[in-house]
Amino acid sequence: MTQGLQLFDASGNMLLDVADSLTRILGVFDTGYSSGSIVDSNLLTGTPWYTTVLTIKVSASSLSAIEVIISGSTLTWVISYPYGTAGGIANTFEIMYGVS
Amino acid sequence: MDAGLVIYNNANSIQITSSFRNYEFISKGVAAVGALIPINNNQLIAFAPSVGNWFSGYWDDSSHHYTYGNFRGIAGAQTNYPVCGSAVIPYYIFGLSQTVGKCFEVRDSLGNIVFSDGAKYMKVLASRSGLDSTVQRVNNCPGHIVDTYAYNANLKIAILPNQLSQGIQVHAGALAIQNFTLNSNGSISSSYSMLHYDGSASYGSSTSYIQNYSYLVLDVTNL
Repeated sequence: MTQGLQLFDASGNMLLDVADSLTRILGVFDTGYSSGSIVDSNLLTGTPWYTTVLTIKVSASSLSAIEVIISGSTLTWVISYPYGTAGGIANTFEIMYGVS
Repeated sequence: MDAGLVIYNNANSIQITSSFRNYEFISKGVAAVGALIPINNNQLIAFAPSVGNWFSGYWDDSSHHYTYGNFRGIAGAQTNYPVCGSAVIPYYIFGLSQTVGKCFEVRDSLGNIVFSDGAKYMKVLASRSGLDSTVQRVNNCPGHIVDTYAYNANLKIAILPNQLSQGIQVHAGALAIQNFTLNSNGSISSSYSMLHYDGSASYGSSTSYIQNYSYLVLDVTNL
């Protein structure tokens, strides 16, 4: 049996179909300067996605790097300084994550 | 207290829930290369280059001084997103659900609209990420390909890159920038180029750097 919500606009164009899943936002947080992880069981309720942004804008010679891995209900971020920290640590990252 | 509503789609995945907000379509436009596009706090911007064209998250000030832009607006200030690419680039801006419903509306426990029939919503087709450790030095955009994603050619797609920053300090005087190309065979190529950021003529001697890729593929058909 088909299930789900279908919505149409006044012209009959489909806005939402029973096969669609929307892009839910589960959380937003600042990574700080260190690697870490969080556990969110809601990550198991769809296909995970994330976005990362730099929280400050600085000169190009003093930025750290980030890698994000989502496995099951765990989101892990790895902060690295591929070219050292001699010039100071200039930025953190903000991660927004969710499921679709 | 929210309505406690959960709707499951035909694949038995959650389609709508009153517990979490969704991203809805806000606006679209076409940016010329070098244009600055304002996006507000927590808004996302995705780009839909035409087939055969590419875009980058970096902006060349025409003197080979490159700066980058975030693809999501952050608190405290409007983000002016710098566009760099091979042609004028259509873009799409998404934001937290806010449009009032006409006949159907779902709110969370704080009273925020999480879904309504008055809005069109962001749809993520794929979340792509990985690591290419190949040492390459391709100076021209779009550069060395690190990932390819095939999509349904019947759909109109847009790309939302993640800000990684790995490439920014590959070695003194140069940076690796992430570019995206829509290919004529219905695929996206994510690639890297080595470019100066200080306007100097030398690319330096180091060849050791990380080339992560990370981006979302969005379905923007009918937006």
